[in-house]
Amino acid sequence: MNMWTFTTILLSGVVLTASPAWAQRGGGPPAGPTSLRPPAVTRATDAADPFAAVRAGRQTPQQYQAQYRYNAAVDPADPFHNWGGNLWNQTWEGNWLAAYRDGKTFQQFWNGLQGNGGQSLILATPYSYTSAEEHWRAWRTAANGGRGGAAQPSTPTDWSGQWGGGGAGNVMQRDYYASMSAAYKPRFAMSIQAEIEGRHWWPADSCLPNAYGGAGTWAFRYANFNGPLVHFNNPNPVYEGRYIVVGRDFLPPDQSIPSFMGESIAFWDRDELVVWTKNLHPNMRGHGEAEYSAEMQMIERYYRSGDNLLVDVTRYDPVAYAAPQHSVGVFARAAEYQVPLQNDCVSTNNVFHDEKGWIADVAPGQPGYKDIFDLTPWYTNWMKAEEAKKQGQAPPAPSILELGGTR
Amino acid sequence: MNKMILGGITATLIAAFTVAIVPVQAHHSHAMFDGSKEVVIEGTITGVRFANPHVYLQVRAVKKDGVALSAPETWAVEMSTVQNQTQRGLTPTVLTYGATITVKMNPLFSGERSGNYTSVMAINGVKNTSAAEDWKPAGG
Repeated sequence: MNMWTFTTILLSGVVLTASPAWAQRGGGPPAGPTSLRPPAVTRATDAADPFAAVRAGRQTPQQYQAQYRYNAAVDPADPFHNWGGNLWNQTWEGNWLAAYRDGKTFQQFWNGLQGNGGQSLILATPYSYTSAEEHWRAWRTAANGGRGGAAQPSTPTDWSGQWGGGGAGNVMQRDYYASMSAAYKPRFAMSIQAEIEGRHWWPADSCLPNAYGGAGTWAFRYANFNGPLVHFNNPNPVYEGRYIVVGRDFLPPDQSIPSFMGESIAFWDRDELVVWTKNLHPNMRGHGEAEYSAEMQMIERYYRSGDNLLVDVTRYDPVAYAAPQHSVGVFARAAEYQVPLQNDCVSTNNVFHDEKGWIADVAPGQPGYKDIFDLTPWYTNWMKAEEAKKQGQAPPAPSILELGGTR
Repeated sequence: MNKMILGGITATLIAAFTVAIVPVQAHHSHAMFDGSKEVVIEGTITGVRFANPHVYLQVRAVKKDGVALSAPETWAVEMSTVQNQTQRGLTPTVLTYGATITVKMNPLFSGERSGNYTSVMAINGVKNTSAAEDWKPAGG
């Protein structure tokens, strides 16, 4: 094996194949024994003040996060072959089709793909709340009970900058599957089957926001404050902008329009931001992660601890989830702010899913090809229309410059 | 290769990537590209779009797999993100409109004129010393 081959394999291994999600997402595997299933969640000591130990310096954000992770053992009976979120790396280049061309059966191909277990999340919530509204009201009441709950913290909180990481950690697919409702379990299995067969469907490939898919992945890159407005955004792989309005209620139902990023309201509890999000389009993040329904509502609590931004997330979705789900993200602030790059997915994407559900691409010369290089498509369109008029394919309408003024 | 050297390289690379890697979400799967094939086209860059999620080139190809075409063909070449391409040395000042280029790609299964690049072999007659996705011009 020459050095280049070795290096290529090694890099592929690190980047695509073997990189455990905890390595990609910060932190590390939790200490302690492994188990086939998630252990019982540790109930919150003070549900109304979950970050108390972090605030007091008795716990780091990473230690807070580690409470809600566990080490998943290899289960020989796991129908998902002990994979977490990185199965997509094994299949996204159409690996099954290549194996099929080499004469392998699907079972042989799938049996050749074996995960190793590893870090996963305890998705059960440490709180006793049964709905987002109940959760919000409890935290709001606690905040008002001596801690303010104001539209702005008494000391302005600087969360500006570039915040990376933030993922709650890898989630074993069997844990996602177990966490889904009876109605959504088959849909989750279908999504994994599609990824194994090379029929990945990710929101971004259609220029849709990934939004708040699987509990393990949580990403934004930039936070900006403008008075009562908090703007989180993540420019890649598609642009995702999220606006959180502080100190206001949700819009009335006749003005409330569902969207992929939803509607978010917030209040400050000291220098912790509590956010309630609802009015979502159903969505899935893809990449082996779980889907949610339009009923999903989410309560988040953010706290800046040094160069970390800690977020505690509880998701309520009685349609897609068997029970409320909980996860914790820890973002790290980049030393230097990098100017976000614009995302041009809408004007450059020629990816589509064909009538058989396979991913495909429109090439130059094919009907429907989006001209990536035409930066003035409006002018191209006007010229086409003028030509159509000349050909008599549209009602005559002479140039207004030729017609001149009439008064 | 000496085990100690292998171990050292492994540790260094893993350390580097563990630090450098941020949560990765690919824009789309590459299952539409035939990873078992590579097509090489030679021609002139007639379009450059430095954009996310993908940088694209449009090439007016005059040769395919070293054979002159009977008529020029327009190809679209998909690359990675702006950040990745910049890190690889394939910047807007390297990929310029009107430059001649030889580029290798995994073609679409459909057989249409588009693919996902695996290597830029030469630009304006300057050969690439890297066989991978980086641009390391000879004499550069």
